[in-house]
Amino acid sequence: MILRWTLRNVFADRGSLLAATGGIAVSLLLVLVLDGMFAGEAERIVSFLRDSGADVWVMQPGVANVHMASSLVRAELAKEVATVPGVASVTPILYVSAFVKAGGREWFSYVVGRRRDDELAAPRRLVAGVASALPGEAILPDVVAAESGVGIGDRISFLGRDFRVSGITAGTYSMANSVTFASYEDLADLLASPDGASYLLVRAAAGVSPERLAERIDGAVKDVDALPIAELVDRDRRLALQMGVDVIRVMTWIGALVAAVVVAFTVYSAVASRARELAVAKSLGAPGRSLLGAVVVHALLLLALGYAAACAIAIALRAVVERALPQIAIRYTTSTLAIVAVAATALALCAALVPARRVARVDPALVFRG
Amino acid sequence: MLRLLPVVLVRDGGRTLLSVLCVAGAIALVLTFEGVRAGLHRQTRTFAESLPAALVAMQPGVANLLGARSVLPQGARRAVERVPGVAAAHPLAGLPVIYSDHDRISPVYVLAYDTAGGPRWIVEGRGIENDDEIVVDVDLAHRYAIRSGDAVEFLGHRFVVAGLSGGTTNPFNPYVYARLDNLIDLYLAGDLPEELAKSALSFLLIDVAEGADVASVRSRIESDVPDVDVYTPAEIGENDVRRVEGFLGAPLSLLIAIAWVVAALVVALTLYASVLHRLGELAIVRAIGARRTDLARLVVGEAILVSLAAFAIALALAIALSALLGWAAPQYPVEPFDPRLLARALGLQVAVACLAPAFAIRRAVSVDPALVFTQ
Repeated sequence: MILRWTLRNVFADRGSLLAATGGIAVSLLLVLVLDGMFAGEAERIVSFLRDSGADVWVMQPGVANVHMASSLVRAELAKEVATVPGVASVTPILYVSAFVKAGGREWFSYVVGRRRDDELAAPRRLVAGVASALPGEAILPDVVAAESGVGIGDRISFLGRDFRVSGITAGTYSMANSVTFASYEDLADLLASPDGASYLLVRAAAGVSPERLAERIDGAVKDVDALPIAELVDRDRRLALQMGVDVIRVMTWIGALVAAVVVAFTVYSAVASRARELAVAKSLGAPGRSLLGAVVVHALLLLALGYAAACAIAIALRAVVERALPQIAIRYTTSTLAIVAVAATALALCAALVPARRVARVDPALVFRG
Repeated sequence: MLRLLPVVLVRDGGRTLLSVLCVAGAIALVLTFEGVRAGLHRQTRTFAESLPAALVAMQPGVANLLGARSVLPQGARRAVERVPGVAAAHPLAGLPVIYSDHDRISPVYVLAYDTAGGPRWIVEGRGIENDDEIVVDVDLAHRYAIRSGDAVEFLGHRFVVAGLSGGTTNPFNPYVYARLDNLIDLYLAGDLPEELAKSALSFLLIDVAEGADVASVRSRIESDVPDVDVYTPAEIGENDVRRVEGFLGAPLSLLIAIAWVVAALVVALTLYASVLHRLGELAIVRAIGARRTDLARLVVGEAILVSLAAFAIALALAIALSALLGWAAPQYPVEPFDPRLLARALGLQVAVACLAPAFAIRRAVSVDPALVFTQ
């Protein structure tokens, strides 16, 4: 009875309903998009490592990262690592940071030098051209290619040398960590280290855990450190996010704070505007529990509509942003969607209970006098 | 009719206050987001501009200080000092490295100086006076609970933190200062990684002789010393700002655009809801003979008054948020008080205050006065 009465009254005043759900929707949308941008970038930052196919990364002693780090080991150590029990394969790569000049613009990028037939550290999603660079060739991330206006066959340069674009890949761009591929020979020549490798990528034999294998390599091979892929991904993500990207996290805090104020105000205001109706209902004998139920239903209804609208707009916005600004990745996580829903519900109920308590204390006789 | 405004606003003071707070929150959001970008630009530009030199030489093709890897040949210093008009060229080594303490890691940029280019502002402790001493950016130091006088493991060597420097942080890698000769000695003793030796000369801070024209000296260096590119500190500052924009420009622009749209919608919906809430009162006013234009004036006047009050509170909120962020994330200074930004925010509010109640006004002015008596 009270539920039907509440629904009828709420939907009768469409203007107020639109204002309230609109206010809630844009506030929640702000939080979802801000967090989605941070989550998207956090994911992209480590996509090369995660997709490398390696279970363990072996590097120079004292180095424990790929991002911002500089590692050099003797390539011949690959043979020594290969003899460690549990190692299925070892792939040396070269890895160096550079500014890639393409189409009159400069892009910070890590350049990976890999041999043509190596399976590990290969680009996973090819958009155009070839997946392995020959000497004199380079493979660019799709975002860099699109934003610079370069395509297959165009010239780009890095580390003071010109290269011909022979491939374009997807999933290799991030604000802090985009990856360009070149041939091992070119990078060895540019780094003046024909017998060196930056990292040795190790694949574990079936049934051997990356953690156990990293320990074995650390124990068996001198002059190297080994990290299981999960630990390396975690360390690199933490480091790379500190380099400018966590400004999005900071902005998310601010956005969440403002969104909380707007949601609380909107629900309070909407419920308070029905205070007189509720007081009349009370004077006609409606029990306190029913009035409380009406308030809760009203608050939850506004929130549900606002949340649904926020989610729908957020999904549409992601499609638009990813097309118009491919350098930005937006990813909505289940945990964020759940946290936002729970926090907004708690906030809405608290905000609704303030006018509800006031109504509960009203003397029914006053309604007829005032 | 406008004389009714204060009465209307004060009579439902609680609701008016909430409307003001809501609008203020939305505007504070815009001011803070725009302030983040302005703060990043100012912080980045200021550090480069404060380099104690008329000109800075760096590796050809490199035009930045922020996160740059520049390597100059050892003979570059002498070659630059031979150019007429150059009073002195001070070597500076710069290298981005990772600072780690147990499980925590942070990117930092080591600046090793010789005769110039050390920290300009020591906020705790003192500058470097002895071997194996470093000066650490104060924000980085606070993050790692480092105090002056502490011993820290850095670059695989144990250093004493002589002092903490201010104005040396940035969103990518805060600065850590060391003496160049000390690092070279440690490298020769085999105590430092080889990579450091490659960057032993990254930049030259160039003093121009008294009376010499900076532009002419620059042209002469560029023509006489092909191993270097030369920039003024102000140009490096601009290049660094462009680099920040290259990294963060797109997401920051999107976030700020979203903030403006959200703010406009929140302000509009708040003011719209506020008018709807007063429909009954407006009907009474109409019933006692007010014209439609009087009602419209009343509604828009209320919206503008609420907006102006909210703007003042938004400024206070923006200051509070800036202070909060300055404490929680000092690498991101927030500077929300650019006059053009304030004018734009105020303009948005007034425009929305005039437009948003328009829909509600249609309902308000069409209220049948008889309704008041039938309700």
